[in-house]
Amino acid sequence: MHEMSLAVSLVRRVVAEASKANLVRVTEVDVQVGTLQAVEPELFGEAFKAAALGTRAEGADLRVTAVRAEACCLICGETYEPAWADFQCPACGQAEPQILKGRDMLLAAVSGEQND
Amino acid sequence: MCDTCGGHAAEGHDHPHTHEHGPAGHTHPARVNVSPAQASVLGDNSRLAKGIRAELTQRGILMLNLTSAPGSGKTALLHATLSAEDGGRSAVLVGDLETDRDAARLRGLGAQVLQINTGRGCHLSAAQVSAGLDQLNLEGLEYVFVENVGNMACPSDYDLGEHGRVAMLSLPEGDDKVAKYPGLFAAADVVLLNKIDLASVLPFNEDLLRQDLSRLNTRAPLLRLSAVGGQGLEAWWAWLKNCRSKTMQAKALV
Repeated sequence: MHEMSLAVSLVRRVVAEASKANLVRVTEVDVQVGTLQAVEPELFGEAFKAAALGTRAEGADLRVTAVRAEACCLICGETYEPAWADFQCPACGQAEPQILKGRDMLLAAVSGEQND
Repeated sequence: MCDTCGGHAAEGHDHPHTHEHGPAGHTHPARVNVSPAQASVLGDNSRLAKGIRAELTQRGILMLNLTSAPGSGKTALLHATLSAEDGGRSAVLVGDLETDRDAARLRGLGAQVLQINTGRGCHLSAAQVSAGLDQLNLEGLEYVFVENVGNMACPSDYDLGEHGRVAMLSLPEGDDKVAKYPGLFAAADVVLLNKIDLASVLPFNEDLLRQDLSRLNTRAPLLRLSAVGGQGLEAWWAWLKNCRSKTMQAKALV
């Protein structure tokens, strides 16, 4: 369960973005999570709450959007959507994809109270 | 002057507005979009990992990240590897939540061995590996083995700066582990099936394992071995040497 360490990394990024933009308090955090990233949403929400305690992101709402995975088959060049437990290319049947999307967690936006 | 916060007195603050006045001054609701270059939550780890990989490649050192459940035989495999090869050309960074028992098992074989205790951390990070490498003498090294925390889920998402990832599974764990923990095996460059000398006493359907692997990863070879019994180790050593020479050739072409 590495939700906690991901949450700590996320809060660090959120606080950095917030201080750059003069947000004194963060009310909402938008993240995009790839479907190949091994994150359990409920656990991640709890971990985020805990990691944000004592920072300007404390109490912020976490909005998670799923990003569909995308892969390019290194054998035949087919582009396809690999599943979490099935990387097989629908065209040639090999499982040697280059993952183009869906492995990462991205911080898309931070909303909050901005100082004048 | 603003009644709530008392700020901006000099400016008179008489403009009509609806925003809140917090203790920190006047604030407005705002939304900040994060630039794509800064967006990756694991970006710091990935950047550090890339730097580690580049430096090790430059020095002609191959680094491998060994992942498996606890008890699969990662330390036993390293023990056999360091005993058979010239241990002085290798270094081991070994991650565990507690104790330096794994490091103690591997000392005395000529290799530099460093234990990393992660406390409650369920995986190693590039920062921990970087700090570990700083404590090693990299002169003359050919291999760095990073023995990750025994865990089939969490280490998969963390690039440590390795050139290759070794996923190990041992026979007593059961033939269904590849299907149950796909992330670990999808990311592997080689899959090791350890403790094959127990095949006569334990039920294990190797066809099932191969079927599951064929859906996840057709790139990584499956090597059957026994780290303690010695069967199949030559193929592992051949894979190691081949992996190092291919990695260094690729560097020479760049």
